[in-house]
Amino acid sequence: MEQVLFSVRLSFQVALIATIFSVVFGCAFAYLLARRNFYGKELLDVVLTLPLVLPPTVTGYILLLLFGSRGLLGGYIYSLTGYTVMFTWQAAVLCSFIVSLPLMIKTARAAFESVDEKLLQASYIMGYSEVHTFFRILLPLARRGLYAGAILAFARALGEFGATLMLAGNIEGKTDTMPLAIYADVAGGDWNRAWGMVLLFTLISAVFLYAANKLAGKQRWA
Amino acid sequence: MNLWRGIRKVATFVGMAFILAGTVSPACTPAAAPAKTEVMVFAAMSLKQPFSQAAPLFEAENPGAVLQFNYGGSGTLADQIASGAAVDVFSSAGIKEMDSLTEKDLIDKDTRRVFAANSLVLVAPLDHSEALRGFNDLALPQVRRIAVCDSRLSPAGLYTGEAFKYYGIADNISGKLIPCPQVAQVCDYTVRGEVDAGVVYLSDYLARKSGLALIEQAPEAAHSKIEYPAAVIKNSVHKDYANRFVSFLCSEKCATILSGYGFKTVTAGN
Repeated sequence: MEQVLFSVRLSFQVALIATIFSVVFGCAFAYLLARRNFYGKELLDVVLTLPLVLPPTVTGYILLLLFGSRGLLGGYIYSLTGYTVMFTWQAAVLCSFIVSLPLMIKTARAAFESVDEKLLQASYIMGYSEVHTFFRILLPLARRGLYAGAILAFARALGEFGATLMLAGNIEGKTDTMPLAIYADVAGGDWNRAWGMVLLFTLISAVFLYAANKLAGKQRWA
Repeated sequence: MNLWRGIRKVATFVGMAFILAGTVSPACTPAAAPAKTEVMVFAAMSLKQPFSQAAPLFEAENPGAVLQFNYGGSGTLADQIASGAAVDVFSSAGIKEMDSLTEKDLIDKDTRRVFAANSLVLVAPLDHSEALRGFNDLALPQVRRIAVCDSRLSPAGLYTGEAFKYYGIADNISGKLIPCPQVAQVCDYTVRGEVDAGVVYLSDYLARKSGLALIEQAPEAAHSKIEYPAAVIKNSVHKDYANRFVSFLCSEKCATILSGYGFKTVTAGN
């Protein structure tokens, strides 16, 4: 039972942190893509969308090549600090972040693009900076779409499996998020524990999503 | 008016999709000469390479048959068979999975034979620490991560656990273990240097020799016999070919191929 609770707690901890990162970076990238033109813009868009279409194992493999202890980036970090993300719960956060980011970007970009350009122009004409306009005008007006994006990102982060299995591994009591724990129990024939976790996971996720939708849902027509 | 046009458009597309699906479905593909009997074999992942090499030999001897293989973890395959998959032959990387199917009365008991055996080896990345010379050294502080098979998912994990108990290091190293869903993943982590050591089958080490250093081979006494049984499934509809395939696995020809991949062969049946 303790192991089940650990997996639940770990899953939500990982998903929450990954979603926060997704929202921050997602909004940043979405703003760039929505409001700026620059050389290589479409390429950036494609690269950022890739985790959405690649099979999770492929994503996992690419992340392994990048962040493994001898990877392109991970190798440097390891030789400098002796730290590697491999087989840690931070790796699970990294994987969940990478796969949920595209969802946030797509949704946020659409939300930003739906805001009337004239309102932003009005802000600039009145002398407000771009930063001020972003935080006080654009974000509040786009918030419905952003809430939706955050919910999608969280849901995706919670269910991440393939890449997490490869980078974080399925170490009981350390990195076994719910999807991984359920997989091992089903494959190992421990149906009772698996069923328990599936039901618990579904219930908690449903409650969370319901609450999140309620938060984002109230339409107030002017 | 516009709605009706819209509906007609959608209906046309859907209809085309169905027609397309129908024309490329296997049922409509012209058969190539008299249909060969497809013999479905579920086999453990570690048998993939030797079986792939042995298959043409069997098919040459039995021109009416063509072998289809489904490779996977022995436990997963056993589950699939128990759920009613249409299979002719099952070959697992351990006795437990075969026994579980025998208990469920899904196997033709008299057809069961052991045709190969394997050993457990400790491997490490090529640039491993000098201090690592055997299983006992796994308890050293220099060894921080050891990749092993997850015992819930693969028989290799059970054998590994037994070997650790044999060497008396099981308690010391429990915090260093990285459980993996299959042996191939253990090999991969070790070759990449993500772990300091890994425990795999001898056959897996030989398959990836260029990237692994062999540290120690566990003696027979360290674990239960790693035997590969094969048997005909009770509900098989191609029993003739299925039986022939199991016999073929025990034959000299097949034994040569298996030895080439690091398996020990048993030429007399179990």
